[in-house]
Amino acid sequence: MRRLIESRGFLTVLLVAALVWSVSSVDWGGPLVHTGGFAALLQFLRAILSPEVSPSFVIVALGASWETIAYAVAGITLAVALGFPLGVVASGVLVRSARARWPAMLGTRFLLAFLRSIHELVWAWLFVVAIGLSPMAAIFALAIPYGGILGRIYADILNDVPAQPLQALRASGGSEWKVFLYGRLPIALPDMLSYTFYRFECAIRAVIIMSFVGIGGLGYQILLSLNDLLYNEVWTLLFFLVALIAVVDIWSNAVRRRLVS
Amino acid sequence: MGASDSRCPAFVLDSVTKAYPRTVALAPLSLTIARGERVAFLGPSGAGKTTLLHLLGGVIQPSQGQIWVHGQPLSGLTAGRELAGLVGVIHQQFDLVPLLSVVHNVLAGRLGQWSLMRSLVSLISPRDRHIALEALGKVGITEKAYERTSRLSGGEQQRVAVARMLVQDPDIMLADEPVASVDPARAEDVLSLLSNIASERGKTLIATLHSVDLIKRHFSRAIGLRNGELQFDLPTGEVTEEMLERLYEIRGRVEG
Repeated sequence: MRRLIESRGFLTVLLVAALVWSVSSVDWGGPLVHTGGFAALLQFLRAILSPEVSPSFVIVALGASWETIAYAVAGITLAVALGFPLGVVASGVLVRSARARWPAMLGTRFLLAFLRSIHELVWAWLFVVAIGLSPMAAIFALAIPYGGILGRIYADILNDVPAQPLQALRASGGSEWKVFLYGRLPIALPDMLSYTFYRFECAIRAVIIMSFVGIGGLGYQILLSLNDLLYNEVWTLLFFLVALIAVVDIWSNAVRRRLVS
Repeated sequence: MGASDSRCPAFVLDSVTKAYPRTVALAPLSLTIARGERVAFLGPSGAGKTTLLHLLGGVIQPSQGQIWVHGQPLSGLTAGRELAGLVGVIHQQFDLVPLLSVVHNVLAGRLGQWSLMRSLVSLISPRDRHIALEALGKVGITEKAYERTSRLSGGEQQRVAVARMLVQDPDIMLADEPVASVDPARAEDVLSLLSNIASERGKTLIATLHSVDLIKRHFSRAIGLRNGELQFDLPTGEVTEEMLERLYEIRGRVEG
């Protein structure tokens, strides 16, 4: 029985069946695009050629981009402050006795799982309800799930550090804390930073989406312009968005490369 | 070390064995290594050289038997400060931390003496800097002190590992294949460095290696191992090519 379940053929049949079932259960009735939809789509696409570039609007877009970056930076900083200590505890590397290690690891890992299992958008909505449309709502909403994600990844990276250099440090007289400072952390740091930068890129996109609930930033501006059917403005904002992500991407790549070499 | 009498040998092994679930890495072995001796362990891969070295370094525990270091049972020494003052190990892969600068890797040899606070402060502004620089001077790479360790060549990294051992300043220096990954000139270099330090400071040096020439030049005693059993234990002058051929010969089916 077990062999059947694990066999490749069985899995293939199962996956194909799932695909067929899901395709057939979609309601394909009616045309894909509703009446007037094509016209609107064309209008939207045509607007790419004439993005809104009036100085006053560019200033709005710049301000919104800046706000987006600021939220993402603040959010990820708070997420690191939350995720790092939790990650260290969850890795269990500072606790020598096995009896104390497992409860600590399981407890923090469960907490991390809880933090990241609720999406930032849900947190955003909760915080907007609780503290209103303040930047704090966006920052907390980002920091909590991201702290959970970072903490979990930090714990895994800290656990995966090669054992020999640590063994050597223990042999030269280091306690687990000293081994952590002189071996585990510096060995793990490039991977940890690299992952944090990757998460920072994600955070920027997340802030944009979150701002659809009304907390400033590029996403909010896109929403306003879309509501007014000002596609030229939407394109300007989208260009800013692409540029923003590209800049962060280039920057984080440069930092990562410096760390690895 | 208060309890250690200066007349006690560096190591006394009393029918020490090491067994792993499917293999016996070391058959019952008894031997004595005097202080200041320079001993080379020889033998094909899988002969038990590294196991023996790790037993002496307290990295692993024997399955049976007892090891005394400077007259004290090795198992009774607490890992860390106590053991670190007596025995230091240079591993085959040097075991350095690539992201840290050279000076921190060298000063890691001081961790046994330092408090946690001092260790932390030292990462920001190196403590006992002169000790590290002196050790780096000894191995000839003072100018690399503040470079990131990953930027150094293999040979330079090996020197960093030696400098760390100097800073740790144990009475007994163990080196696992210290010249396995370097060219002949550098092998000569590293070994003369180690054996000079050993003779200057009256330290015991124990290393695993393969080359007869190097053994004859830098060591006083050769111990041959095969399949975890002692094959010979002689002054290096009495080791012949023939003995080595027999030690390394491949018998019947291939042995690791």
